[in-house]
Amino acid sequence: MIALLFISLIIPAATATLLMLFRSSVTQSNARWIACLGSAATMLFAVLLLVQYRATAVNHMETGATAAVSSAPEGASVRPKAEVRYPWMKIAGNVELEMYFGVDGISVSMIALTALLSFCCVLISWEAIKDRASEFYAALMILETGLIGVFCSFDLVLFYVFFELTLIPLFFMIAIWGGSERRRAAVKFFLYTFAGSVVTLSGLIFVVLYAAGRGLTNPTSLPALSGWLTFHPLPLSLQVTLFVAVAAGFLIKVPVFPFHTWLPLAHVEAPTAGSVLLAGVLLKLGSYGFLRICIPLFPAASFQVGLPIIGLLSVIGIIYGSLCALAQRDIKKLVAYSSVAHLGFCMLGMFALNVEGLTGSVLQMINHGLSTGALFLLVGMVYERYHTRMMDDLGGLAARLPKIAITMVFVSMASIGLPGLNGFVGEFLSLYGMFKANMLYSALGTIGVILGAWYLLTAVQKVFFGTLREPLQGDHGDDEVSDMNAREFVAVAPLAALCLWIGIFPGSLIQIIEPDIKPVVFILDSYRNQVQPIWSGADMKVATVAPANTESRRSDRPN
Amino acid sequence: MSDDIQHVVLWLIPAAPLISAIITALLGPKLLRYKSHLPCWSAIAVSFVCSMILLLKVLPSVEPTLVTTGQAATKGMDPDALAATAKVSQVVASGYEWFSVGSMQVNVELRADSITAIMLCMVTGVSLLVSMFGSGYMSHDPGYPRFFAAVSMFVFSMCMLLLSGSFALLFVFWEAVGLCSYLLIGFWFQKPSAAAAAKKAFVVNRIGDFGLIMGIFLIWMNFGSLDFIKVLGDSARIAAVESANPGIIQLICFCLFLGAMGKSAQFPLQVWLPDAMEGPTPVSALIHAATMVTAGIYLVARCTPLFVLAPLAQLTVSGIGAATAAIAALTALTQTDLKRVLAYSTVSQLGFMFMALGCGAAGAELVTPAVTAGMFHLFTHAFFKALLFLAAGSVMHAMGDVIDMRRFSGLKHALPITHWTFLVGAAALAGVPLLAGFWSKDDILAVLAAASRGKEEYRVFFGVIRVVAVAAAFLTAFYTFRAYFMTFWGPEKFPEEAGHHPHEATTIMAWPLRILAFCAALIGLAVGPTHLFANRLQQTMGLTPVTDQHLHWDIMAVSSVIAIAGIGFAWMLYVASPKIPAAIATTMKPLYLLSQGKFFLDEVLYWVVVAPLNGLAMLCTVIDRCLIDGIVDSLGTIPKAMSDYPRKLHSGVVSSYAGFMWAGFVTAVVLVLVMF
Repeated sequence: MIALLFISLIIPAATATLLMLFRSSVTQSNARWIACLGSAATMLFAVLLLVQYRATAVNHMETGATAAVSSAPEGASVRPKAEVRYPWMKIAGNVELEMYFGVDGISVSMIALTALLSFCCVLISWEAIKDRASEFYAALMILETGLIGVFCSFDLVLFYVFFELTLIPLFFMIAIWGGSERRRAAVKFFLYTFAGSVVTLSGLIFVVLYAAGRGLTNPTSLPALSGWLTFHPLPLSLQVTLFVAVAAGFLIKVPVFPFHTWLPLAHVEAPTAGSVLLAGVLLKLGSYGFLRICIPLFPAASFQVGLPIIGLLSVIGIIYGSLCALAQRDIKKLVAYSSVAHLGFCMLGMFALNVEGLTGSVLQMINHGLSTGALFLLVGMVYERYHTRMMDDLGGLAARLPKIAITMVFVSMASIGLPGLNGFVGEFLSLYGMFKANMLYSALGTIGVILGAWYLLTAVQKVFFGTLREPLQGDHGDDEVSDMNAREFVAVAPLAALCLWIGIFPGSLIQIIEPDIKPVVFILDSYRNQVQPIWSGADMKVATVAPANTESRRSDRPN
Repeated sequence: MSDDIQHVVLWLIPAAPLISAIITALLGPKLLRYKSHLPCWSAIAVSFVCSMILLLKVLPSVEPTLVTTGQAATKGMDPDALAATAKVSQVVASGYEWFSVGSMQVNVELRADSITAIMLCMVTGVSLLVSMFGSGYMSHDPGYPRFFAAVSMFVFSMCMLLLSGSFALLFVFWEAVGLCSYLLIGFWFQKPSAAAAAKKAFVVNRIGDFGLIMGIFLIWMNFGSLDFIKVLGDSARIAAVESANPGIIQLICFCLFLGAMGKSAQFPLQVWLPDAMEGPTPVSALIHAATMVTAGIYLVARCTPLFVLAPLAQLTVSGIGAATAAIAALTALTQTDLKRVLAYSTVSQLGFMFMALGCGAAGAELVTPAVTAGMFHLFTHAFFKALLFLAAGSVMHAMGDVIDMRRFSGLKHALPITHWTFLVGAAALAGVPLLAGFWSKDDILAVLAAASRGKEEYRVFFGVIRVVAVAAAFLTAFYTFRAYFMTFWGPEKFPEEAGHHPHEATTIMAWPLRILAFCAALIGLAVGPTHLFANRLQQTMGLTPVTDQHLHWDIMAVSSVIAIAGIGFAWMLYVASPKIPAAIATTMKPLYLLSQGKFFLDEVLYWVVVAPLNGLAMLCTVIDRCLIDGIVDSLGTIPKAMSDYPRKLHSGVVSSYAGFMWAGFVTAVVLVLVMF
């Protein structure tokens, strides 16, 4: 399994190296074929990884390993199912840094999603990227490497390195191949997210040094650190401070309202491939960071500030993002704001801090990747044909581009959260999770379900329905606008198919990810009902951080 | 009948239309083309036959099972009542686990009991006739395969909605029928009005869905299950939930009813239904008259065990129903679009059903008659309303897609089949004695009468509702026959679009009309006074078999008089002396305008909801750009500002450097002198 992981990590890196080394001699068509092969191979191995993981995990479950989770103290830590660790260096005498790669259900799903979307990105850039194609595809492949790297790192140093690595290729993709305001967008994207992750880094350094100073020999290892912290919990005030610091980078990355303003700009200016990967995977690094780092390391703070504050910000983000989307004229900007709203659902479920919410949140991460990725692909297809994204200039395209229109309606329905398609279960579980934790937040968040239908269907209605309205073509005549071609079909069909598959059989995905949610919930259960949200009115001093004794932690979930 | 055959029968009901939908969607545009109706017809026929087998063979053969756990008996409940409520005969066919999270497991499984089976027969029967009519009606449309794919998909979704055994699955198909409705209203997507109507229908329905989602969450949290049997079948459990958390059942019922209001177009969420008439007429007949819009009634009827504990919710159901029935009937009086008259009539009749459903508040003994009356009206309404819509479609087909009643008249000689079938439907809707609508409307009026003599505190309330119902019944007879007289009587007049000689419905369109007319005439007589319907329905959860069934001669007499009066009044105004309506319109101008303007609900909705939200959306974008992004950008300028000033010092002029050096030296010396 680890071999497969390394192969899917190395192929894009190797492809990128190849493209960069021979960039002067590689033509556009060669570059795209190399990238296509590279990303297809990565996708193949990522899918194999997923299949193999599923086979072993299901096997694992059947042999009764679930019983062990609740009894062994080891179960309290976030531990990958398959792992490999290389000693790296020793610092300060006995503190050891290691390279810790591993996969669990959540990471294999995210890796598969990354590989799939990267492949789609190569296909969609086929004609759109004409100059410096070699460099473009190299950047794309480096981005893929970084993203896969984040999802398989169980070591804070490695995690952070990959986390930051993703910024650089995307910065260039926006700055070089973007729209008219690409420089400003790229700089803003880079500086904003980078500023956030520096704060995250400082928080992480503090935790690592804290643990190292108290005798943990491998403090950068995420499983070791989270396991250690369950037995040596941080004081509550310190936890809250560190939670806020570490969350800073993730909040911007997700982005949670009001840290989202870089996103619409970056999306509008980025080339289609950049938008797809940005919305599809890059944003999830933020929510993934919350799930892997913030919540397991600072569970008490998650209850005290995460649930009330980030929960509230998510609710605002859902409604505010939807309203902003409603007012947009540019369809790509509309989809960008819809991402703010959808990630709001994701964070809402996350900070419900119960098994339903967290599961829904992870599902929402994957589903948003599929459906918004597909939406950006389709918007890109329309843009490539008409060189405009303004909804006022377009209309009735269903008559001209029936296949694109049908796919658009389908994907919009998935994005709206129509049951039977993928978006529903994630949204439903996220909202239900929050309903258990805080009914008001959930009820307000559900308003987003109404608004979501409104803005997306309005966009579909304006662009695809009604009387045909096409902008005058500069470079080619009216008749040359053709419907979706085979290449575009291959790019968007797997996403649409997965939307349907996950909608009909969400159990197949939940089965993979839920076992890895349980340890997080297990950690959280020690603090549930003990730590009060900051504005609950309860006396702060009652909220001691000591975890409940082991007996109470054995109980799976209070009802 | 063995279990395997039962399961096959049960699965075939939704599976056949699903397969047809897939086949038509994949092969339709290229291969089947104008034969795309064949898979649809055969699939719905299979569903219909299976539904009939389910109703007549399978369910009677199933032993009623006790669903209540033993605890109830020990808690001292009346054992007779327990035995009466808890026995349910149902058939279950399990599929696969849809998902499971934490302690919650949601399965895809089919579950049929009497209410399901009755609804299924109605849905598949009407669908079959409508799809036959549709193949004639749509025969020259380039979207022919798309139409039948969507209709098949709809029948599948509707069957699954009825066969769902849990709230989760019900919600899935609740949304799925909404999607089909969206696709079919927007079938002629080039028409901007159709595209707008489709979106409106979807979004307004979503407002209702908000309530349904909240209701489902509340049920999930309080019952720990979404299974109908576990939630609805166990009265002890419901009582336990209510006592643990007083008022929670009430809240759940309100939430569920909000969902029902959206789907069944109740005030103030009814605005989408008249606009939905932009879709092809067979779709209006099938989805927006006979089947989908009754899903809300079905939901409330299904949740009777919850509603009986929530009198306030029941009163709301009745009250909203009455308000809707009255408003829609008044609106229908002055509409000139034949299809819209029928649409408002549908809204009004759905209001009648809700009026009946809420009557359980007046006394426990009224619950079963109330639900029975509502469901019976749903059942008969499906036939005569589908008939009326199809006949209207036939008129529209003949008139070259003109549906404005001012532009044609006197069609009874040109379109004889359409004329007499429409007449049967109109008479059934008006409640002419012995026709279908007569029996069911009569049941509703009877149960309202009983409710107004029921519990002391609700007597006045139900008395008012009863008066509203009688008035609405009169209006129903009047506007239905107004439409009939305006269309088929008077001087013969055709619009230009119709050509010289309007053509009567073709064979494939005429037969569904004839069959539906037959049903509309006789189905009430067949299952109403014989109590076939009531006895079958009452084998459902939450309902008790009623033993003292009798006919309400007094109410029948009253409602016959009302119907005849309404028809006669319409005849007087639109046949005998056609000048009177215009005179009334001018003398009562404000009232006329109010009715013709549909009570200006669309405008109210626009100015109260849509415009403020759009304004808020604009405000949000301004805030986003200026305030939030402005703060970010100004924070971004801090480093630059910090470097700008010191940068000026590095001017490159040697003399200024020398000056700074001198100043620094002096400062240092002064500092040293001062400090020491």
